[in-house]
Order: sequence, then structure tokens, then C-alpha cells
Amino acid sequence: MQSELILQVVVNGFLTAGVYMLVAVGLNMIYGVMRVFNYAQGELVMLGMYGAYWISTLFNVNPYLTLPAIVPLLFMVGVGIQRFMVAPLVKRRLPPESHVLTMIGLIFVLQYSAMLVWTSDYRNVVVPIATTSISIPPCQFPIGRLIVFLSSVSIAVLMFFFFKCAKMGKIIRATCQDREAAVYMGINIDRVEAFTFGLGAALAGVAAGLLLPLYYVNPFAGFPFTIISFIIVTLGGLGNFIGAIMGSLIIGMVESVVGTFISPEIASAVAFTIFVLVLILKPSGLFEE
Amino acid sequence: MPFPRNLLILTILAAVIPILPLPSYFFHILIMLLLFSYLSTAWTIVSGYAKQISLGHSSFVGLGAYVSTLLLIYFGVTPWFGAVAAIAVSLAVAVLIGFPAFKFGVRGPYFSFATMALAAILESIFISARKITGGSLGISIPYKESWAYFQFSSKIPYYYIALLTWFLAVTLAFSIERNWFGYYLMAIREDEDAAEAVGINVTRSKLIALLLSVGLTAWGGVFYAQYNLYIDPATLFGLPLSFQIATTSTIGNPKRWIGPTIGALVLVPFSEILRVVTGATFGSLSFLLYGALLIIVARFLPNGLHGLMTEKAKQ
Repeated sequence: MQSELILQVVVNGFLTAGVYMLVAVGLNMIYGVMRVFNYAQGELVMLGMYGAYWISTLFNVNPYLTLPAIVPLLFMVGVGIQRFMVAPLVKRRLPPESHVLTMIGLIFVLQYSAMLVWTSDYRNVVVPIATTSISIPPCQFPIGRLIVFLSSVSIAVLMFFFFKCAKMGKIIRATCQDREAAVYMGINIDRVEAFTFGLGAALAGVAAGLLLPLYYVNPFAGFPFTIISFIIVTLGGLGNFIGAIMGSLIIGMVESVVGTFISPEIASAVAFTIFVLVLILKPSGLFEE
Repeated sequence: MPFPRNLLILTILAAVIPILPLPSYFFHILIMLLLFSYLSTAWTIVSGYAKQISLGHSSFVGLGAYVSTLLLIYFGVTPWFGAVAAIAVSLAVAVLIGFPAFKFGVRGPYFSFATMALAAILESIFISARKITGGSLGISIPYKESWAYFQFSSKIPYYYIALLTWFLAVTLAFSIERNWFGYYLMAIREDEDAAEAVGINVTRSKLIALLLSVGLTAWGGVFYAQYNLYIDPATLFGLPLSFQIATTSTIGNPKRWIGPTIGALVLVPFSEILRVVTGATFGSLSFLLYGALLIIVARFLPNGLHGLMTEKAKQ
């Protein structure tokens, strides 16, 4: 019985890690290319969840089927944020704290406009298939979480090949390595950055569509994801792709193990404590290349 | 060191306001105005002068409020002594996080995250200690009107206490600005490595600035608890409060002693009026405009509204 419980806790840890990986990878990519923290990544997830909620209740479709609409929409939102809010700061050569303040402003704007439009009620969409479980003794696999986990693994693999092989991926990596040299090679930095931000936001959109059947959405539902993602990318080393995946696994396991055996609040306190310790003792992350 | 005469005149004017027969709601707004000016001035000492941007100052508002309230409820300790304990606990926590952070060079956005994480850790600890703190439902402080319990039936005593502490905080900020210590902090703000190179003890200066700021902030928490007579983890430790403190100072001018007060003078009445006019739930519209204002200030006014005013005055 005890060993079965432990096995189930480990499975849950992996499944939770899958959820966090989806959000953290997008955040990490934006930072890796632009050296800008997208503090509003969680708010993009929140917007995407509302979008998916709207479409799925309006047309009575499964939230998973709203993805083809949500993802391009979020891509556009990301490009917009980059064009109108981040790029002007870079152009004016404003110091990093202006970025932080702009992003906090953006969080306020997104959260409270969501509140004006959708009120602070908790909303969700019931998808029977997402809440049923497959039983492979001795463990239970809730289908909704399994879908999230498998999608984040496939997205991670896709991203890996995108950066390794695709031309745009190579361009992004080049910009990442040396902006000036990239300009001399004829790369249009503005477009690369807009594309990267859009891609990061699109990943938030994927997360939103997949998470809607599992989580309630309200205007403040996104911010916890931002915080968790920051912890994850700091653990893994900022901009480090493999590190972000490992960081998600660590945090997922901590939440599952401590959450099951002690209490969920202590689990988040433990996660934050690990974060602060890593920040102080090894700020470059645990998985430095 | 010329003391700003305008500040003295302003304070004396503010001190005679209660002679006028004004409704108590008016004093509520004035108290909130003074409290936010005070908290943001405290924030400015470490985050404006030394540019160690804390996005978790609610940690210390919360600690201040909870320590004094728990002492009052369980041991009957008067909040005046409770405040001393509250400040001591907050300073201890600040050293615990600040010393290693500054010593090992946790800078810029990393420092902001660390402070955010601190607030989140404290919030979850105070929620999970349900048996003592009442969890997310919070604590109501039983009403006993007396000086000893720091509770008054009228708003006027609260107003004078808020005015006095605000005056002291602003005076402190002013004297730091005109003092060697302030110059150290400004050197750190402009370039930490260069400051280190010319012989400034960067770690120590940042830590002292943090402790001054935290001590003042903890008192703000004690005052809030006694004024409101109800505290809960989400309001006191939550990010909105930290953001609001940072925003108020930034919109004013985070680099000058009077900046935070200017920010509060604009923002507090603005959100109150908006709340009355629109009656929107939780003042969502006012926070929305806060956000928009912050974006505009961050992009166009690096020295806040105060910077704008002084530029206009020069022209």
C-alpha cells in the first residue's frame, strides 16, 4: 500500500511538472532571446483560458478544439505587447527597472480589464473525458493531466528541433548569442523579437487551452503560474532550455510529495525556499551548461 | 543642511485641518493618503535611492500587523510594545534574506524575485498556521477603546499618528538624501561595481538601507492593523499591496524624498474618487488606470510626476 502511494505520488509529480513546463518554456524562451522577463506570462495564460472558455461555451465545443483559434490569437497578442510595450523601451535605452515597471503595469491592466469584462467569478468548463482516469495498476492517470503532460513533452521536443534545424530557429539562436553580429548578418532583429514574443505567448495559449478543463479561471488565476515559472527557470538557469524542463520536474515533485504528505501550503513554501536558496547560492541555476 | 520650509508649512497646515468640521470619511482618505505616502517613502530608501527594487514589501507590512496583533490577542500585549516586537521580527527576517542576497550579489530582477518569493512564503505560512492565525479568513481585533490598546473611536488620533510618522519618515528620507550615506546609496544606484571600486562597502550600505526601510514598513503594518481592526493574509502579504507601494513611489519619483508623497497625493484620492463614482467591484477600474499610468510613467517619465513638475518649473 505504502509503495503504491509513493508510486502514485511520483506519477502525480510528473503530471504536475507537465503543467508547469508548458508555461515555463515560453517564459524561458522570451528571456533567452530578449533578456526581458515577461512578468505577464501567467496573465497571457489567463487571457487564453477566458478565450477558450468563451469559444467553448458560445459554440458548445470541447475546449481542446478551441486551440486552433486561441493559439494564433495569443501569438498576435504577444506580438502586440512586444511591438507597443517592450520595443519602445529598448529604443529609448531605458534601464531594466523601466521594463519591470512596465510589466507590472501590464499585469494590472490585464488582470483588472479581465475583471471588468468577466467579473471575479470562478468559471470552468466541465469536460467529462478530462476528469476520468485511466487505471494502470497500481497507478491512476487522469486523462486531462496526461494530455497536458504528453503535449508539453511533445512541444519540448518540437521546440528542440525547431531551434536546432529550422531556419527561423537558427536565426533566433543567433540573435540570442550576439545581437550586433546578428544585425551585421542581415537579420531583422525587430521581427525576430516580435516573433519570439509571439511564440512565447502562443505557448501560453497552448497551456490555456489544455488547462481550462482542469483549472478554474478568474482574473487572478494566471499570476501563480508566472511565479512558479520564474522559480523553475531560475532553478534551471535563465534561458537554459533543458534546465527549464529539469526545473519543472523538481518543482512538480516537491509539490506532489510535500503536498501529499504534509500540506499544499507548506509545499509552496518549500518550493519558494528552494528558489531563494538557489538564487542566493547558485544564481546561474543548477544546470549551467 | 537647509530644512525644506515647504514641508514644515505643509505639515503645520495638515495639523490644523481637524479644526474644520469635516466628515470622518474625509479623514479616512487623509489617513490612507498619509499611510501610503509613509509606506512608499520607506520603500524609496532601499528601492529608489539604492535601486534594490523590492516587490515584496508587503512581507513587512504583514509581519508588522500579524506580530503585534497576535501578541495583543494571545498575551494582551499593548500594540505599542507589540510594535517594538513587530519591528524586531521584521528586521530579523530582513537580515535573513537581505544579508545573503546582498553578500552573494543577488542583483536587479533577481532581488525583486527573491522579495516577491519572501512575501509568497510568508503568505502561505500564515495561511497554513490556521489554528493560530485563523488562516485566510484572518483575524478581527476585539474593539476596546483606549490609548493603551491603540484604539480610538474617532479618526482624529489616528490622523495625528499617521501625520507624525509620515513627517518623521519624510524627514529621514530627506536627511539621507543630503548625507554621505545617501551619496553611497546613489552611487550604488548608478553603478554598483564602480561604487565598490571607490571603496564603498556596498553590502553594508544596501543592508542598512533595507533595514531602515523594513523597520518603517513594519510600523506601517502595526498602524494598519490597529486602524482597520481586521487583518488577513491575502490583503497584507499579497502582491497587490507590494505593487501598490512600488507604484506609488515610482509614479511620484523614486529618487527623491518627496516623490512618494506626490505619488500618493495623486493616486489615493484618484482611486477613492473613482471608487465612489463608478462603484466598481474592488475598484477594478482604479487598478486598471493605475496600471496604465504606470506604463506611461515608466516609458516617458523616468523621474515620475515630480520630475515633470520640476522640469516645468525650470522652464
